[in-house]
Amino acid sequence: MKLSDERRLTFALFLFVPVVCFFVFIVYPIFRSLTLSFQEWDGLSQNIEFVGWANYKKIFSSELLWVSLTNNLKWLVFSLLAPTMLGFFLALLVDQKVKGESLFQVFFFIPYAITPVAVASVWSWLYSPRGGVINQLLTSIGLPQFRQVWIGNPDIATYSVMLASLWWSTGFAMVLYFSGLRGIPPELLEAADVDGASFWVKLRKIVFPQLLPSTIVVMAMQGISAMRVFDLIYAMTGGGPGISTHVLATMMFDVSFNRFEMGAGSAIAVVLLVISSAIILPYVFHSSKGLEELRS
Amino acid sequence: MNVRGRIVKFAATLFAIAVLSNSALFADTEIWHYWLSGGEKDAINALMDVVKQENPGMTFNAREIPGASTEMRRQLGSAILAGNPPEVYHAGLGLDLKSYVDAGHLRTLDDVWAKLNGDKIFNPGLQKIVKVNGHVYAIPMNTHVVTHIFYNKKIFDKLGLKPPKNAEEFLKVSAVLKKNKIEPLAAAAKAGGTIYHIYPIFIDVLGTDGYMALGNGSLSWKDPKVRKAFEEYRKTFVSQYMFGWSGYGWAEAANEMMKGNVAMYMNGDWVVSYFENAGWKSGVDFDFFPAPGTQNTIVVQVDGLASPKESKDEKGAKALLLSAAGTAGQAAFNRYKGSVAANLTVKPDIYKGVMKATYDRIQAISKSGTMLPNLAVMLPPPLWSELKTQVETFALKSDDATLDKALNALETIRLEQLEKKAFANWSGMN
Repeated sequence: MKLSDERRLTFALFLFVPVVCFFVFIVYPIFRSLTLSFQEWDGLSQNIEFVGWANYKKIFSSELLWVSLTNNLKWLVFSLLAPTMLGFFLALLVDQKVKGESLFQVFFFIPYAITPVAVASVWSWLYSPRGGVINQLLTSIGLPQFRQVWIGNPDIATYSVMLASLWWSTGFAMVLYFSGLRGIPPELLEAADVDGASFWVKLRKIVFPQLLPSTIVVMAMQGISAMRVFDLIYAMTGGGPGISTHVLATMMFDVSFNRFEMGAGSAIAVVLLVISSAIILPYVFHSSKGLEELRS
Repeated sequence: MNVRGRIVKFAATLFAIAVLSNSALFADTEIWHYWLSGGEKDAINALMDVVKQENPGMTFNAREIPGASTEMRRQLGSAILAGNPPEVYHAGLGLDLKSYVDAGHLRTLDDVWAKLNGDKIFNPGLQKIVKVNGHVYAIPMNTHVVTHIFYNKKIFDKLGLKPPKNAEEFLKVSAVLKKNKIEPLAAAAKAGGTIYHIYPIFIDVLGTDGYMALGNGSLSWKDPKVRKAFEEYRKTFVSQYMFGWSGYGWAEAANEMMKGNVAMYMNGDWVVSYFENAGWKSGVDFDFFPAPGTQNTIVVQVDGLASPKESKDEKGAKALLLSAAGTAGQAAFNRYKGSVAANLTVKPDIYKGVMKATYDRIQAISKSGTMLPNLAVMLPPPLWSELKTQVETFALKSDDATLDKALNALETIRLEQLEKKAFANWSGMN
């Protein structure tokens, strides 16, 4: 056997495991979810019945779906704006060549290294209606009228969970922006300084355009997180009070594993997949384009 | 190494991974459970000590499944599909158990039951919810009462209050508490923390037959009496809830009563072990009274153990279940669990304070009252899940429009489940 054939076989063998894993753990579950969304199954029984579009009709007539979808959209808008802007702002601050720069980087990034369930636990404690730090602080500074039932009031619970998420995820955006800032050729900024450009002009004409790739990555990642957000909500509110903080992922879990309606749960998964794809595909195309440009 | 050698090595590695991942190699008899909090953890540890003592030469392993019954069902379902479930698992009874039996996943325990003389040593009410089509599929471990209201004894004593016997007295006691700037009733939103509060009202307004009719699916949620029950729930309980109740979990809500901010708390009697672990003395710092409308009735929640048919070590499973159902196993377990043993041969001297009073009440109710199963074990899961959500939603916004919406939603699911023949024809427990 020629050496090139041998190497090809070696590569094929090494590729075999990831390809099999990809099909078993990604492709097959998607296919199975799709077929299951047209069936009725309680997750245990050997009877699986084909029900056509019934599961889709059922979930689209449910109030829970529209509440969840609305919350997902709120999460999307929030995730695209808040952590991105705050991360950019923090990166700019840390980039000012201050003493102990790396310490600030670590400080801001640490929350992102904490598991979401632990974040949920800490923030649930902060939000506790009576003994929670936030309400106690408001009372101690003479603003007891602003005390809230942060995660127990259906009108604000989703935003309270978002705030916890902001604390958790901003560090990630900051790190990406920071590396982007450090990647800007210094000559550009020096030339602007020589021309007497103000801070805002430099920001608008040099920094923003140069950070476009970082912004795309940050926004894409935040967009993806917004659509698959689950753990923080599940651990902090379980989708409640009532159904007020549910998103599609928690609804899918509730329908599948609390109500044991696997078919309807799969239909929600399919809806989530379609919506997420619409949001994520532009990023995938952009990344692929960048890769092609690098190759050529 | 030549290509052939590499292929052989690669295949051997894959085979080794496959073999090692098969838990048959790890021959422990495994039990999966979700008894995780303080007293519960002590209870399962004490039980496992008895199991090991009574079965020398066998190895047992207790694995914790965080996430309660939902996560248990999810993980167990996956393990059953993979052909590798534990020998024994912490089972929901009634309809939940029946769903596993109907799917052909549970081993009958008729032989274990016969050895134990189960028909004699277990309460007749409990026997009904561990049997399906006349066969035994689970061992009942305990009886938790979910219709008792716990109260801060020092607050009651200080204000000269007596435990109320009916809704009218309950409202009077609440009014005195409010007047003294103490919030009457602790409640929690997470994990359906308000659901048990409506049970006494259902029993009071609908009667025990009406309560069972809800569980059987034979009573419409649009029946005027059901509507009246929700309205009574609003008047009796919701109006007494503490500030911010919907932001609390059950343990945090219990803390508010311990701190003296709130005088009463209604939850299952698993809170007894929580109070005691936190240093409260049963009968001195806290006590209980039957919720208004349940002077002669209790609603019980029962933990069970069952064995999946697909598990490998049937002998180990049955040995574990025999020990768990026996006098020593149940005494060890319930001493810490804060519940009353299902096995009637357990001597009552293991109970103290509130649990002794609970034991006495269960005995009295067994003879001359009505013991009802938790709606959780009677209602089909979609209806049970919706009921928890709707009761909580109504407690948050108790207007008539919310009530209309809640009853419509529940009725829609009831009809859907009736069409699927998802209800079982439950009779009472005694």
